[in-house]
Amino acid sequence: MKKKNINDFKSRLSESLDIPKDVTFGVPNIKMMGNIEITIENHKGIVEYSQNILRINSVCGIIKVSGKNLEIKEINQEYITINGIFDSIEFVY
Amino acid sequence: MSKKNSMEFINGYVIVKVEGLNTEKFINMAVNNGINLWDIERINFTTTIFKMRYYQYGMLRDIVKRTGVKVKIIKKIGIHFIYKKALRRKVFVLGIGLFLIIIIYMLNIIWQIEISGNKTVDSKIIYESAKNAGLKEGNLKYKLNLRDIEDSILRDIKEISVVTIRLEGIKAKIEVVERKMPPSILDLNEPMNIIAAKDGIVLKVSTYMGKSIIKEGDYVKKGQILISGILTDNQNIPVRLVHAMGDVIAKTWYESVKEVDLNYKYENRTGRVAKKVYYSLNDKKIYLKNDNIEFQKYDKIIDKKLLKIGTLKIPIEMITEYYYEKVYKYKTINYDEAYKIALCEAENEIKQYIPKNVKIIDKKIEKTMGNNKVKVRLLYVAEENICLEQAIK
Repeated sequence: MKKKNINDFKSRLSESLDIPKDVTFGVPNIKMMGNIEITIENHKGIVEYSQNILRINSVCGIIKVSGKNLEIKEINQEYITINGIFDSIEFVY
Repeated sequence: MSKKNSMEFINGYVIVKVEGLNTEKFINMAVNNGINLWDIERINFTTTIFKMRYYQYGMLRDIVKRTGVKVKIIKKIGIHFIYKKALRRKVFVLGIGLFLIIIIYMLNIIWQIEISGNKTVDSKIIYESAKNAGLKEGNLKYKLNLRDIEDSILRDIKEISVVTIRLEGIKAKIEVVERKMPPSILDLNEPMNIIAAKDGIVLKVSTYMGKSIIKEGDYVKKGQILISGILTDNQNIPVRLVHAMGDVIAKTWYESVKEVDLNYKYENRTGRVAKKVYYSLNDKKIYLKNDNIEFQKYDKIIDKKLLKIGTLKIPIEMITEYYYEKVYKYKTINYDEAYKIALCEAENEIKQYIPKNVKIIDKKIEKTMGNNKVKVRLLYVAEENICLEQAIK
């Protein structure tokens, strides 16, 4: 109940001050370029990595990316870029 | 991305292979420690390959200990590593440097001079003039002041009106436009006689100025006055002196006498050959083969070849000298053969000294035989202008 109130307050504050929500909440900002490249900001590390399935931890659960020939193009603390041919992207709570 | 790649090439990066059961954990820990990874590739369940900066490689040690994976550098890429390799191969790098210096030096000197556009002026004269001004093979290009050289050539050779020198790579091209020289003006004020240059019978006299002393059909001797520049009145008193002009066509003779013995002496090569082969550059000779010549009499034949690389001529000549040994032999021949030999020799001799512009009218052959000898007298009758100017004192 308390947490909900805080989230509510944060949401109202960010709306009134025009601050993007990925900064205030720390939710992942996912950018897709067609079906060949995905950039995820605010990730919390890799859970599973194989050629067909890639699972990435984040604030709002695990992001599951499936496709063919997946390859992590770049990874650092801020963002992760994935190349490959994607079939689906899914949130697993 | 390409900009990033080139930057990484300058900084230097390594390709690392990780083997272990929990590579995801390894990657997470590495990323949390602030290590940048890129091009991560999962080969199979246990191995992963990625790229990272070389100076961050030491930070992996702690993580490796905690996760229990094996790491190994597969390849090192970047300027840093090339530089390190070069330090180990000093002579090789020195060789490359020396090679570049030599190439650049060679490209900066003039190897060949081409002269074009000249019709009457000899190329050699232009070449010598350019050489005196400083343009010759082997000189450095940037030291030349082409405009000065052009001026110098123009001053040297009066027959040339325009010179342009262009440097095309390692060639210097001299282009020349010749001046049409005005015809030399006859100095009519200077009194002149016309005298005979040769003996002959006068066929035709045409006088433009002066007084002709001879008539058609006269026999004149060498040095005799044909057209006089001294004009006289009726009493043979000289009135004034003029510059005599005119044409005198005369019949002249060219004669050659040859005698051939029936016991004919001739040269014959014995078949023994000695050879000298050498390269020559400015009087310096490098012998490849140098035979001793023990022959008393020999024919010498010199064969010169300029060395070439592609179309580029090098001022080194390869010279081959052949020495054929020969001996004199005697054989008896009949009168007919002797006559043919004598005639041939006589004709060759006449052809050497007969001028090319004369018109040959007649050819007479006299032969006398006897006393084991054949004597041939060959006579060419020709028609030519025999005028020669001579100043009157």
